[in-house]
Amino acid sequence: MKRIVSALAGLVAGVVLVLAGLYMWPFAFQQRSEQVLDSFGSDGETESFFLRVLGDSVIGTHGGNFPFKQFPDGVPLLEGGNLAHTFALVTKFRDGPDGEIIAFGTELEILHEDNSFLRGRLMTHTFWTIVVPGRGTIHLYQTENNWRLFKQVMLPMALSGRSFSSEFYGVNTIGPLADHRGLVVGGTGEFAHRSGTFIEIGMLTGADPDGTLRGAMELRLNYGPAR
Amino acid sequence: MNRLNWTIFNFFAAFGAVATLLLLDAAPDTDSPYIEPIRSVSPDGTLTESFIFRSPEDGIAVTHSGDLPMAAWPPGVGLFSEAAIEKGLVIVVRVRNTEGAIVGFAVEYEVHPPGDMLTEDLRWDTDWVVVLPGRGMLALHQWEHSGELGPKVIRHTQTTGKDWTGDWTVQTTVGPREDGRGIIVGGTGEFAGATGTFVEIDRVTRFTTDGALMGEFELRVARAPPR
Repeated sequence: MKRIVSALAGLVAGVVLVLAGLYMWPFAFQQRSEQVLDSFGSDGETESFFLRVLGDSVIGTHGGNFPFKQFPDGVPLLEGGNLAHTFALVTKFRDGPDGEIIAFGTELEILHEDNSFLRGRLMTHTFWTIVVPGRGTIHLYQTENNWRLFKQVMLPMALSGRSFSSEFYGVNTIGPLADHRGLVVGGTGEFAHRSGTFIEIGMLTGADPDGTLRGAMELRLNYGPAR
Repeated sequence: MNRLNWTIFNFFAAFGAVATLLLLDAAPDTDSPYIEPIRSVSPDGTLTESFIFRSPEDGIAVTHSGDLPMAAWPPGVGLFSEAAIEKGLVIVVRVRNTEGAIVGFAVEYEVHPPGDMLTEDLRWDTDWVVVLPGRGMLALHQWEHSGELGPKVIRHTQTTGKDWTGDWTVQTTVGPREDGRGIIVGGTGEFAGATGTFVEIDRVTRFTTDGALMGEFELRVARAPPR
């Protein structure tokens, strides 16, 4: 009996040790917000688009594997075929944190194929499209890593069953550029032939266990060479 | 604990740690299955591939100002009621290959011009983003025109109070290329750096009194060979 207890205690100790170590592990990318925000837009022309979460959101749905509640009621999941790891958000955009609505568009995501808890990767391929009537359309692509969000917001909420009501701020973008920036893919109208980089900045002020989020996001663009 | 029990404890602790590390490295499994594209290759290397959606079964959501004959859906969906975006429209659909398999989803973004779309032959900007898990995302741009959709289909329903039923196929794309085709703006994954053209071909079979447009709709994309 003592041997069985020793075996079980050892097993639990090994698992807990690894989980605790992973939770505490200081992945270098966790410090990227300060690095990117310090240097972003130091040269070239910058422009930001803002959205309130979920106040400016119109439609949100996914393939079933995102921890968010789809809306409005009655909107179907993206079911069938190979859609299990996809997400779609239709939203309005503002010209400032408290600014006017000036555009509409989408955030479309596919879960990243290289995800791994051990490597702190909870990533998506994210494609933003912003339609600015009278100006044109601009498309942006980034990879984002939500490890910090998972660790500091989602996991505590899932374990406690209680809502998150604090502040969570940071750059969600992790690539595809080596300096943690996303890319301007292309555009139309005045955005045709634009190139450059961008970052997505998240400001979460609350979240509920059912996946409802409260906060704001900024897409900060830096027009110029993509580097 | 005696020495044997410590040995058992340590062995199982090491086993638990290693097993947890392996599990954490492999999870979460977020690979999207690759679905082999169905496409034709012309003698000059152009790849032609069609993405098809059927209404109503592939429809996910529609929104606009609330003032268009085509109904916003699902009921209660947020509307583009603000002045800057009141001419905008977004449609979210699942897309299929030519064999009917679901291979992704797509979003259509339209910005309508001033004028009466039911009586005038108007032209407007339309963007598409096609999301294909396992392959990438593709951004398209075209000019569309209303043509006979207003007088032939929608006005009939409005004046008779009955559904329009029939079988009417039309290429809605009229530009921006001089040959009347739309363009590939850019993409990610296998579509990164893609160039080429496309057309939208709509086969309308029904328009209901409550604003549902039914039929089969095709984006026929011709990617230029890599240079």
